Amino acid sequence: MKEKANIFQRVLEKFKFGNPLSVKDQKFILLSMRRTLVFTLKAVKEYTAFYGMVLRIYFRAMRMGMRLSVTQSAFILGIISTVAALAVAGGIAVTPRLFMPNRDVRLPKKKTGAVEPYKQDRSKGDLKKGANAEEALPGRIKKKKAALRKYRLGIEVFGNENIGADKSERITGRIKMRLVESLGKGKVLSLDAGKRKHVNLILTGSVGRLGDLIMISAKVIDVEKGSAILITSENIGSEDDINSACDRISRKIWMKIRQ
Amino acid sequence: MESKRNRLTEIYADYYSIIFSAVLTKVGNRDDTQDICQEVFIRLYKKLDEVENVRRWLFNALKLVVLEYFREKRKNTNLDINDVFNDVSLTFVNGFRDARIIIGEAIENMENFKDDIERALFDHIAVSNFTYGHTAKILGLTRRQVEYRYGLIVDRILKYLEKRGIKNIEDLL
Repeated sequence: MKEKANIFQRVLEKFKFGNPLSVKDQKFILLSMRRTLVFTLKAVKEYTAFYGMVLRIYFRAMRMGMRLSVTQSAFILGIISTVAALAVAGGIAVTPRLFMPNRDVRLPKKKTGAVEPYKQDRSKGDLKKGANAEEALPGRIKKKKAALRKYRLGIEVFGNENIGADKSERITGRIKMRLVESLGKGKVLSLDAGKRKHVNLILTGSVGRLGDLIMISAKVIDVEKGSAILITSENIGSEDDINSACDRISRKIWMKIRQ
Repeated sequence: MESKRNRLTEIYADYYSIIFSAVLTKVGNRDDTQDICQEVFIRLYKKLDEVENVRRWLFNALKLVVLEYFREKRKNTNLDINDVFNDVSLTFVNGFRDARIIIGEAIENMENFKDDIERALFDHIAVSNFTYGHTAKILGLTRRQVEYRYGLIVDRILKYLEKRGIKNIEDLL
């Protein structure tokens, strides 16, 4: 078939039936076809911007080997425009969310289960007051909150017998300092009169002198239960040992509270 | 009902390149050829409702517009259409002239073409010497489709020539 076509072509050339175009001119026609049509349509006042877009699709489809009608090209343009409009509308809807700060606080993953987000109400402080707020919280967080409340320790100035008030204040201060180091600043309070209701545990004690012997006793009281959870004391023979005695007492208190 | 504008667009897509090649061989430069082609299609748009055979109308209009172009260019209003479009068949004599006439009839006979697309396809390849690839891009076909359909057209024309007495076309070469 190819050979017959070639021979026929040569016959047509011999008998001058052709207006042969060079390959360069053929390419020129391909590139300028749509533009020339646009000029023609403008000359007869039939050109619009929308029709220009339709022509682009029409000629592009031709080049890809798809012979579409102009109506079909207009239909395809309609579909493309609709999809583009929906994509833009979707993008506009989604974009603000990308820039909004994420208020969810994610806890570290449990080994056994999934992470549950916990929303903190920063305007009212770290801990929510009230039983209803607590019940709404997940279990792991409830336990942590309970532990935090247990650590709220109020320290009263130790009483003194046969020893200067400055010594008892110094001893109270030393014990408080060590407890703050162990438990944290927000967990330990100096108690004035009338502030017992703000704490769960109270540390109270006394310092006394009997000859050369100095006796330091301390008691931790659970306010809710109304009973002592720890009673301890240290006897020292010299004022040089006061600091080490205070450290031992505070360690005992810390060990008891964190149980 | 298809609009006039859509009809013009589709006719333009099929025939622009053939008209362009016919004008370019006469005029010789691309810019003037584009202007002439544009004028031809503007006139077609105005008469589109009255035209029956679009291809014949376009080639007749082409001759008129090219003639007007040469009259204006050479400033000779007496220029005749035959001065511009010579009868090529006159250059052949005796048997060759007869053969050319028969081949011309075979090419013009619409029974040898299934539809306007095949007619346009033949004009592009056989008359304007377009490559299969370029023809495919102009007409919205694949290269394989163009090659196959052109082969079928050539078969039909050769059978027509056989009936008219030209049994072996290679003898004409």
